Amino acid sequence: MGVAFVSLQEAMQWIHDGVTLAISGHMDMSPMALIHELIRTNIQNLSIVCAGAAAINADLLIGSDVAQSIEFSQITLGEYGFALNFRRRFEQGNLSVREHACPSLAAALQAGAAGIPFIPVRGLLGTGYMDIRSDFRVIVNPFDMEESIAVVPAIRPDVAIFHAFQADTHGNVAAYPGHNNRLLAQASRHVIVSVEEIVTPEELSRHPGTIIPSVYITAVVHAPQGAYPTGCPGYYGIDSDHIRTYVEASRSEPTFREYIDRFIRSDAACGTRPKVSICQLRASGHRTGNEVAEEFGPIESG
Amino acid sequence: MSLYSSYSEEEWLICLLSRQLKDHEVVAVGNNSPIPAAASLLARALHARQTEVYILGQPDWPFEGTKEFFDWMQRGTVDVFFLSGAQIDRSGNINLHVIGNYEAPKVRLPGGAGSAVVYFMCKRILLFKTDHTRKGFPEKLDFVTSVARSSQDVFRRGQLEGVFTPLGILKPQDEDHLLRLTAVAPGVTASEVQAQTGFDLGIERGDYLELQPPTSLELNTLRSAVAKELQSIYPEFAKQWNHSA
Repeated sequence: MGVAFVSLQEAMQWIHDGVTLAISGHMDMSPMALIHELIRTNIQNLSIVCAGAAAINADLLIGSDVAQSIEFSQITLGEYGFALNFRRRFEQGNLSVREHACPSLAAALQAGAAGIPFIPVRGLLGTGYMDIRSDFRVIVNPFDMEESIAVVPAIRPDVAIFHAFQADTHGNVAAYPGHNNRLLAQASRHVIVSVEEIVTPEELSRHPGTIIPSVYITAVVHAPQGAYPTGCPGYYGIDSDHIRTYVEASRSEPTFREYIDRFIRSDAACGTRPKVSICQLRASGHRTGNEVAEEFGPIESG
Repeated sequence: MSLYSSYSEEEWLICLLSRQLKDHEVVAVGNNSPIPAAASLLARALHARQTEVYILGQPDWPFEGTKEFFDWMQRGTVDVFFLSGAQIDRSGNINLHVIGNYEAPKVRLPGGAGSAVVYFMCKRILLFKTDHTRKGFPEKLDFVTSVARSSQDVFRRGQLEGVFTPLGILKPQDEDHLLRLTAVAPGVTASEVQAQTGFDLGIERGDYLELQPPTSLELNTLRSAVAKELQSIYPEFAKQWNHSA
């Protein structure tokens, strides 16, 4: 199976009502362009999995009603304070949650990546997690009968979305090393990656980021500024002013609906998206995926 | 009056935490923890130059994601980890989940992050709290995010070292493992600390020290070299020292 090079709109074909959708990112490298597109398509009732401590990515999916439930270890806007949509919806009893510790969540994804049903994890025993997660169990270590240990079920998301630095023309990806993206790609059935740049395989091989081979990738979206307003290290920083606008807007349901209308649903916000799948090699102008394929090898499109 | 005779509560807490770190230790700092991050960098700049410091979010991160970092930590490689709690009880158990009933809380907090595993797996756990109030140190937690001790059948290497706040230090005692006042911050009395704490600190025993204020060397290093290092990880937090040094 080759990697599809698609537009933001075309990337939505893998995401249907009710799927389990995994995301990565924090106040940097959140897949904001893909999340905005998801909101525009009016897909709802998704079960969200956060691949690490989450931030505006999760808060926006909650505040826009895309998320029906969310599996996470922590949700904050980092230096910008509480994630207010998450906080409000939870306090009002309008959000279904599945809470994990960061290491046990990563272990559950590891189990998903290996195709095994559950995994033992350290810690947890004696904490409130064992009360709120009826699917976390305690077993006796079969190799040391003196030891009790928690087991958690594998996480196998239907679809993962994340933002990365580069993809090459074969669909190999250079990702941010901080956010468990390779593990997430290995655990998920379909993987959609937005990237700042499409480059040659030679150029990708020199990238210092985490290389994720195309075997794990379903589709690549060329989406410059795709992490905005979160930061993309080496490309652009966080837009602090916009984040403060977001924080103010997320203080109430009506003001947050206005935020979504203005910054995500409006014609002005939509107008910046390319309408067709564009595979753009850096410094070589706009070309379609097929044109690039002729020069650099096969790309499956659409 | 010298520049270094006045300092903020945050600066005090950073210096206090920094002094707890020993040379050659491996120190790790988790999410949303600018004060421990600053403390670790300060210790490495001053008395613990061979200390290895790993701060989640640092630009030169040697691990693939947080997954590899947590795997590495669970093998027993990390000597010191900092944790906090919206509530901390007399045993040193922490709550990072909710204030009020979990099902319908008054305040939903961000969540436990790694604490329900980290507390068990790193050798020395330093709890810190940026404010010291009765509400923050209640008799009973509204939710138990992580625990200071475990039963014999549970693997555990993590031990609570103490709780560090702007008012002083609480440490678990050998006889009952409960927190007692062991040191007060400069200019703070034991009865003031007790008045701000929802459980008994045993101050009638009188065995607590008075801590030394931050030195000019600590403050100068924090406000210059450490502030500069923090800019790439906690830019908003580091702004408080923009006009220093």
